[in-house]
Order: sequence, then structure tokens, then C-alpha cells
Amino acid sequence: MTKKILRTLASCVITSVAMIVALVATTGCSTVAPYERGKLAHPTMAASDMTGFGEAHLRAISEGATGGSGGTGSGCGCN
Amino acid sequence: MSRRFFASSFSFAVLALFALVGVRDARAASNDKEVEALIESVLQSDYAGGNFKQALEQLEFGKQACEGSSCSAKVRAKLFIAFGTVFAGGLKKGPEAKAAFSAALKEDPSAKLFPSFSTPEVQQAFNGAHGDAPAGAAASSAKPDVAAPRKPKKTWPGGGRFPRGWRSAEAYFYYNEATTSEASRDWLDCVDYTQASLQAENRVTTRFLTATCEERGGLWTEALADFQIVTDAAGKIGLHDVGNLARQRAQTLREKTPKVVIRRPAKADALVVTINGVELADAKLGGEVWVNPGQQTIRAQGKVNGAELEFEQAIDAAELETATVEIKLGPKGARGDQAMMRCMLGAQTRDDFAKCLKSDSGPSLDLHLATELSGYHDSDHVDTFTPAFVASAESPTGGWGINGSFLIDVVTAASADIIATASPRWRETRYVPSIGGHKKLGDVDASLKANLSHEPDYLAISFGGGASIDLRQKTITPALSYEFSHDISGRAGTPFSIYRRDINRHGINASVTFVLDKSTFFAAALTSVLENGDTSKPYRYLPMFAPDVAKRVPIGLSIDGVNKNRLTIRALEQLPTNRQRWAVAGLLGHRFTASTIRVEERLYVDSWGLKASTTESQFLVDMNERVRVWPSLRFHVQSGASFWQHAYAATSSTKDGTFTLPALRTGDRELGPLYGLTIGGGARYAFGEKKSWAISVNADIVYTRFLDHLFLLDRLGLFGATTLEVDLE
Repeated sequence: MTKKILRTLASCVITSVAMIVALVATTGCSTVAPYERGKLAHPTMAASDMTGFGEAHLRAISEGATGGSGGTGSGCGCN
Repeated sequence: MSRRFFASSFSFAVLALFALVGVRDARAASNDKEVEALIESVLQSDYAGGNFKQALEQLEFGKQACEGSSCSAKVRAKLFIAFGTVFAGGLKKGPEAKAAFSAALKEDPSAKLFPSFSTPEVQQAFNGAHGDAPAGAAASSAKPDVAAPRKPKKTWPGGGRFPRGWRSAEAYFYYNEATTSEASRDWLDCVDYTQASLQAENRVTTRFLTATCEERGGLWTEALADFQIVTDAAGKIGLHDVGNLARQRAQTLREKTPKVVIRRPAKADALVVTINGVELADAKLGGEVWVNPGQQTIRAQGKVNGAELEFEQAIDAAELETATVEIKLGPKGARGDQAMMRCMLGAQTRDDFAKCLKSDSGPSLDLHLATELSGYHDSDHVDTFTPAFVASAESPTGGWGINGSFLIDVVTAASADIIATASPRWRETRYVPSIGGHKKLGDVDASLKANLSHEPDYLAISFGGGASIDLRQKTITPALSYEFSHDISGRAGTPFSIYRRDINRHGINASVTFVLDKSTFFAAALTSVLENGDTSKPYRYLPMFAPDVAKRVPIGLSIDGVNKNRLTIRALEQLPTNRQRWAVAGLLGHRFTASTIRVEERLYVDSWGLKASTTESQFLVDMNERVRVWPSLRFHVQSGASFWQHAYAATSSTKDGTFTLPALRTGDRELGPLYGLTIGGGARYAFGEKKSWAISVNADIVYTRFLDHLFLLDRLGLFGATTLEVDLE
């Protein structure tokens, strides 16, 4: 039962990701001139991880996965 | 979940990402529309919001876009008008503003200010530039000099009707246009139209409107003259109200119009003195010269002992003030502090103008300081307290930055896993200093970082470097980084020289950010970490069960239940000595008018058989200029490692009574199957005159459900953080 739930959840997630990627692929990249970047320059539009120190560390030790935003891993004997 | 299923999904995601790279090239096109949109955006957001330096930086992009013949002269003029507006109205730099306006008038002599963003300082600088312009009319006395009239933008088409009291349809047409210009605060246009109307029909009310628009447009000396004419003429035709009003305005202007006293130098022949390009009669030297408010440039040329000398000085003529200028002739070329001003006035190209501006601006440095206090408590009796301090310095013009941080992690834990081994609550403090920096080398940004983590029984040292490059006008930014970490795992109370396990990690992160449109970006990242070394915990003992008992041990069995059913032997955790970990993540961000949505998905697999998916979304809303709030949601689900069991079986040998243990065994519950849901939110408040200070609060509720574990089936945690930060320039 547990495996079935996990399999279903994973398939939903994978499908969502695939749809997002397909949407992006169809729209493509438009040429955005440098002077049209007012919204892109907003602080909330940073492509980097916006998580604070405490929260990032909490996630690192409470989840078995790592990566996706750079870095090698825990770097501590926390788990 | 099969390994093949995740592998195929992984491959599809990577292939789709590569498909995005094959974008088509856009054809080159005139940039008039885009630059005009930029100007409007900069003035309405950055300039109106007080971010003047940001406004200048944005306008610089417009200059790049107008390279060559990419923009019309009209639009280039608008761009320079915008520069001048920011310099004069924002940064209060009169000389720079006047130079910008001069450049604008060179591009388009009919260029005008943006009515909505015109302030007295802006108007004064513009008037000053007008005075230097060949066709501009500048006054040096109460009586205006006769200058070439500006042409009104619209020309009378002929015909048309006019109301009673008027004699000329043409005059009425221009008068109507003048009132329209007055309503939209286009003062100089209003003046142009009233002048044209006066030429067709000389009416007192038209001249009163002329004087009103001249006054509003900063042409005080002209306005004073016209108000005086109206005062004299209105009474004669019975318009006493108009006459009285004109008298009052004229009186006010007499009081507030600035004056300049120019003292001639001793021993100078063939002296020629100009104010804003208009020659001043010799008789006026030494007396008060009435001038319009704003920047006035006094130049003089003369001969002393046969040598041709010159003089130049810019003054800011303010209302109610009288400025005195002593002409001191000097050799040609010795401009002193006026070097920058002449540089800008003499700039023939946009590059020349930019060089003048850059040579005047000193190095800029943006400092950012922040402190964060965070805490965590959960139902499994784990508490953490983590203060952190961050400092960074960024040089926008130099293209480099350095940053450093120091974090202290205080953890106390009495979790079920600890209690199960009959261990008491323990407390540990970890110290984490880190440092990093980056430097822009052309389109490439290179970075380095180093990190140290120290606790009584664990030491980790890491360092790494990376590079990113901006492609296609910064719409595609790939990046690659490498990090090496050397960890030393020990035992509390035992020196590393006696007991240590070395663990090495090599991490590679490849990412690419795509700007999809003006408001949307997509960032994809691929992380690979190779670990070598034994990461087993030296304190983690696992209960062992007889094979037939292990099969019947239920999930979530309590500590007492485990103790009743387990074997007497306690086995230390043993993990594989190497691990390969891969993660691919995608982040989509879109900015609305006053809010941003961020959605991220991460897929993870490793050689221990653990697979995971993490989905997170945030919706950040700018309530106003100072307040931002955001809810957030995160869902994480993972399978267990391939060697994970909630109850390990140990077989005993009948010959010698020894036990055979599973080669790989672990009690780390984060290696078992679980899912976690985090619901949270935060708020940020910016304060201070320039909104350079900010305080943020963030809170999360973290629920974890353990799907195949002993002792604990779920865990509820509370996380909170407060951050205080400041930006200094």
C-alpha cells in the first residue's frame, strides 16, 4: 500500500515536471533586452536559493536528499 | 518505485532542458519603442521610488540599445532628458543635468521635459541648457533679449471658427493649444503657442497666459516683462482684475528673481562676457543682472598683455539670492574644477558623454550586513538554536564582491533514537565560519569559497570554485562549480589523533538560468556528489532481532516493545563506504505587478537506492514599498535506502554462539522511507529613510511521517527565524 502511494505520488510529480518543461520548451526563450529587466531585477526573482541559514540546515538534516542548489552536502555530523 | 522509472524521468528532464538551448535568434529591429518603454519604466519606478543610482544604471542600458542607428534622434533626446531629470531632480547634480539636457537638445532641438517629473531644479537645469543651445533664448536682464522664437509643435491648419471677441481664427487655434499644454504642464509648449497666438492677434489675456506659462517654466525674467506689459495694458481696456493679478505676479517675481553681479577683471582688453551664451553689455558689468533661476554659465574672454585668456564659472542662481562672480582670466585649457562640465558640454558622441560621467564618479561599494536568529523544536525532543552573522561587500562598478558568515549551531537532543540506546540528552555546539568572493572578468564571473564546520566530534573543511557566463544579452547564464570537502569524523572526548574516520566529498554543480520573458525565468541545476569514507555514526547502536522475530516486528514498536523482543547483542551502524548522489532541480519564477511566485522541483537518486522528490512553492507579495509577506509550502517524499530495514535480523551460530549481522545496517531515520510537509510563511518590513534596513520573520510547521521505522511514526516540528539586515553604500 505504501509503495503504491509513493509510486502514485512520484508519477504525479514527474508528470507535473514534464508539463512544466514542455511548456517552457514550446514558449522558448524570447530575447529580452537589458532595459526590460526591471521585474527580473527584483530581489524576489533571484535564481539562487533564498533560504536562510537555519532553515537550509534544518532541511539538510531532516531530508535524505541533497543538492539541486549547489554544495556537496551536510559538512557536519548532524544525522 | 523502480530504478528504471527514475532514470527515464531523469533523462527526459535533461533532454527537455537541452531542447531549450536551441533557441532561435531574434532579428535585429529598431529599438525606439523599447527604449521609450524603458524610459517610462525607469522614471515611474526607480526615479519615482527614489532609487536614483538604479535609475541611472537602467538608463545606461538604453544608451547601449541606441548604439549606432538603433534609435531615432527623438528617442535619443528623450533618453538624455531622462538622464538630466534624474541628475537634477534626484541627485541634485546641476552640471551633469545641464550637460545631459544639452546633449538632448543637440539630438532634437524641440526636446522637452517630462511634465510629470519636472521639478524646479529640473526646469532650471533645462533652462540653462536651453540658454547654451544655439536656438535657445536666455535672458541676462529684466528685458529679455530678442531671440529666435521656438516653433510651436502644431501649425494652424487654416480656417476654423472663433468666438466673439476674437478677430483671428489662427490666434484662437494657438490659444486653445496653449491652454491644453498648460493643463498638461508642458510649459514651454504653452509659451510657444501663446507666442504664436500673440503674433496673430495681440490680446492681453493671451499675454497673461504667456507670462503664467513662462513663470511656471522657469523663464522668470520673460514672465516679469510680460506681466508688466499686461499690468500696463489691462487697465486701459477695462480688464482691471487681470491687471491687478498681473501686478501681483510681477511684484512676486521682482522679489524672487535671482540676480548676478559680474565684476570685471582689472587690466583686461577686448573683454567679452556671456551668460549662457548671450553676450552681456559692458555697461551691465558690476551691476545686478537679473537671470532666470538655475544653472548659469558665465564665460569671459579677453586679453591681458597681449595674451588671450579666458574664464568660465557655473553658478546656481537660486530665487531671492544675489550671486557675485569675480572674473579671473586664466590661460586657455586650465579648467580646474570645470573640467568635467566642459567634458560633458563638449561631448560629441554618447560614448564621450559616458566617459565624462564615469571619470567623475568615484568607486562605489555596497555593504550588506545581516544577523539571523533561528530556533527549532520538535515533538521528538530536539531543540536547536542557531545565530548567524553575514557580511558582504559588492562593487557594482568594479564587478567584484566578497562575503563572509559565521554560524553557531546549538543542538540539544533527547530523541527516541537516543533514548532507545539508554543515552542521556546531549548538547552540542557547532561553529561554522565561511568566506567567499567573486570577480567579473568580461562576461565571465569567477568565484571562490571556503567553509569550515567544527564540533567536538566532527570537523569539515571545504573549498570550491565556480564560473558563470552571460550569453545572449544575459538571457542564458550557464554556470559550473566544483567543491571539495574533507571531513573528519571522531568520537566526543577522544582526540582525532586516537580515533578518526576520513571522508572525502567531490561535488559538481552544473546549472543554467533562462530568462523566458520580461517577467519569468527558469533555472535548472544538476548536482553530483561523490563520497568516499565511512559515514557510519560511532554512537548509533541498533537493536537486532532473531530472523523469525524480525519478520513480525511492527512499524512504530515502542522502546519497551523493542527491548522485550530484541536480542541481547547491540550492533553498531554500518553504512557503505562510498556513495554517489545525483539531483536535478528546476526553479520557475514569475513576477507579477507586485508579487512573485516561485515553484521548485527536485528529483534525487543515489547509489544507496534512496530516491526522493521535493516540491516547494512560495508566493511573495509586496503589500507596499516597505512590507512583503509570503506563504510557502514544501512537500518531500523519499524511499528508503536499499539496505534499510526497520528491524534487522541477526543469525546466531550454534557452534560458537557468535552472531552474523547484516553487512549494511543503519538507524538513521532519514535514510528510511518518509514524507514531510512544511507549511510556513514570513514577512519583511523595510524601514529607514532609504528603506535600507529590514527585519524579517519566518515560521514553519514541519510534519514528518515515518513509513517504516521503529519508536516513532511521526514528528511535528516548529521552526522560527528572525533576520535583521542593512544595506550601506
